Amino acid sequence: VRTPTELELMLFHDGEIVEDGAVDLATLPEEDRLAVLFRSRADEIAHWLERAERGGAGEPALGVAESLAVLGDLVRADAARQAPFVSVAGAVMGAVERREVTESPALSSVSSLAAPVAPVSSPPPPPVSASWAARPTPVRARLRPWITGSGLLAAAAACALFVLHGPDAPIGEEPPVPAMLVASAPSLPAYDGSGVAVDTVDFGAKMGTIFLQPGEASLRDSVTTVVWIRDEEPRP
Amino acid sequence: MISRRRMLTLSSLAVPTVLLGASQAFAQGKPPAVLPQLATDVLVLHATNRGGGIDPSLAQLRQLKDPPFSSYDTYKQLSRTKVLVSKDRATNVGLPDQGKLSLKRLDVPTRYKLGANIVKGSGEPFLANLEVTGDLNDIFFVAGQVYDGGILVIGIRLVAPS
Repeated sequence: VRTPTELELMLFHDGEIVEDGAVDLATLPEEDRLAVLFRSRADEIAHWLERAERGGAGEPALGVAESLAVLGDLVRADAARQAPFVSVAGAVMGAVERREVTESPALSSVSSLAAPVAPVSSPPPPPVSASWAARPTPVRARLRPWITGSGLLAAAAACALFVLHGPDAPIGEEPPVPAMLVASAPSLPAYDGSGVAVDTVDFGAKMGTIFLQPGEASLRDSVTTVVWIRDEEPRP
Repeated sequence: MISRRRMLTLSSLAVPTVLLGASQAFAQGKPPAVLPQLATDVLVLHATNRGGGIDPSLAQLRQLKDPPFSSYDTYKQLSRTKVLVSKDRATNVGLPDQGKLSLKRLDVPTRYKLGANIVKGSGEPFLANLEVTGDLNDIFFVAGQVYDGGILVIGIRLVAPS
């Protein structure tokens, strides 16, 4: 029996077997002919594998092991290639989450409402400044009363739930998240955060991320948009 | 609760559209005046982890101290260029790797819309068809291109031509 190729082994294990005569190879492009595994050939491969497992095939058994080893090497090489990016992305996300801890949950959730809100029209152009610092806006200052009110509302709702359910309520469950109450408050003004909006971007084959970097609340900064693209080290 | 990480991270598999700018002017009822000419201030930085800190000339860029920029500890200014952008043709800005950043003003009646492309010095496209909408003095960054042991960080600010 002819030693099966790696492609044939893959087709065999994937069950991609075609009944004899079901496909006319002459009608297929040359590169597609190799990807057709007929039933008769599959039976030969099954026989070959049985012999290999018994050790009766000698060298072919080593061929299977080699195929698996090559596959393992490829997987490990790919994982190693991606490892630096994973660590950088993890560091970035970790830093974002650490920053979140210091912010009010209500404020963070209001910021997160920005994405689905479509711009209605444009704000007037602000005075031009030579500074590279982000343009100050009164967004957070104007939202602060609403946020405070929503926080109090959330606290009141949590107290009411505790009173209604009493000590039978599961201790481990978190009280209603203020963010949801903020989101459903009908009188909350629309988020009017400023900053650059990305209308479209084509990352091609690269991985890309769009960060919306919040401004300093104390400085009443606007959001800064960052388009971050994963680049490959140039090959020597 | 909506995961902020999920909110902030958009995969390249689905072309992302981020609508950020719910308008301040929705209550004002009239579109703002748009300058007939627009310029951009293009700041090219080199980010590395060589322990050198942030260039004092960049002290006003408080964004560099926060994520995602804080994953690098050293920022140096490589160039700063102010260029006019027009609707008729793309304006090119040279990059340190001999690549180029192309900017073009897009035709939007009431807002400032900018198109940007980056081609590496090797000729390989790095950023294709980025379109952003913003207002005067707004700044955005494009980062990640590998360069000299670090990455390039390009800040682009919409400004009035002087």
